[in-house]
Amino acid sequence: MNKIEPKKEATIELVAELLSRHLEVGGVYTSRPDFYFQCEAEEPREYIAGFEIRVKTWWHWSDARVTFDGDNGELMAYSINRYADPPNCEEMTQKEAIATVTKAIQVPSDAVLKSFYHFEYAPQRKLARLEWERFHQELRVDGDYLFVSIHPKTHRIVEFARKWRTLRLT
Amino acid sequence: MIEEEILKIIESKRSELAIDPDMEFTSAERAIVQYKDDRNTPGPTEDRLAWTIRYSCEWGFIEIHIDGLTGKILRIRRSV
Repeated sequence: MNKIEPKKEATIELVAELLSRHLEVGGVYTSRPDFYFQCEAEEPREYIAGFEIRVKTWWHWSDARVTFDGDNGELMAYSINRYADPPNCEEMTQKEAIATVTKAIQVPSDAVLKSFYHFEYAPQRKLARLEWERFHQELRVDGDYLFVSIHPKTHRIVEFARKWRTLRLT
Repeated sequence: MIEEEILKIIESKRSELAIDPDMEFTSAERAIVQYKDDRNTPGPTEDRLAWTIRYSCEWGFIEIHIDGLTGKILRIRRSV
């Protein structure tokens, strides 16, 4: 067998393991390190005394997204990609969830709480969500929404989306 | 316009609106809806008091927004 047997997969595993340790140092424990970085091995380079395999890495640390209204610049939505970390199976009460939200976000006075529930973003990654509808003079305003996702263990707001338009009734 | 009048308009236009024969009336709600003459071009929208009428069946739904004053069909949403 060729001594320079390409061990590209083994090399990638080794690099991924090293990078996973870096994640853990940063407080991120994940069964899917490929969500955070990707590795690609080059072809082995042969030397007299052995060979080397270089590995390129792409860090995929976070996909924070923010959406603004194109007309008036109003913040419409934001989310962070690591919102299911750390792993969690705990739940929080509706009262706790609302207290967390109202510390950070002004819930409009014409918002009516529609639902509160938990969902698994991924296995063992449970989040709480609050959803509001808008009512104007007792009529639901179709198309407007406010929802917030919260990590029950850390009480972090990890996702927010709101559309609360200026009504132009004709 | 009252709900019965709106439903009569929709039933009379059932084929025009391409409401599948399998679909049955599910709900009617008065709501404020966003309206724009030409939704394909950007620009300001206005809001109308409308009826949102929903028909559905096992495989899908259709939601129709009808102006609550004139009976004009403002928007149609389909699941497929």
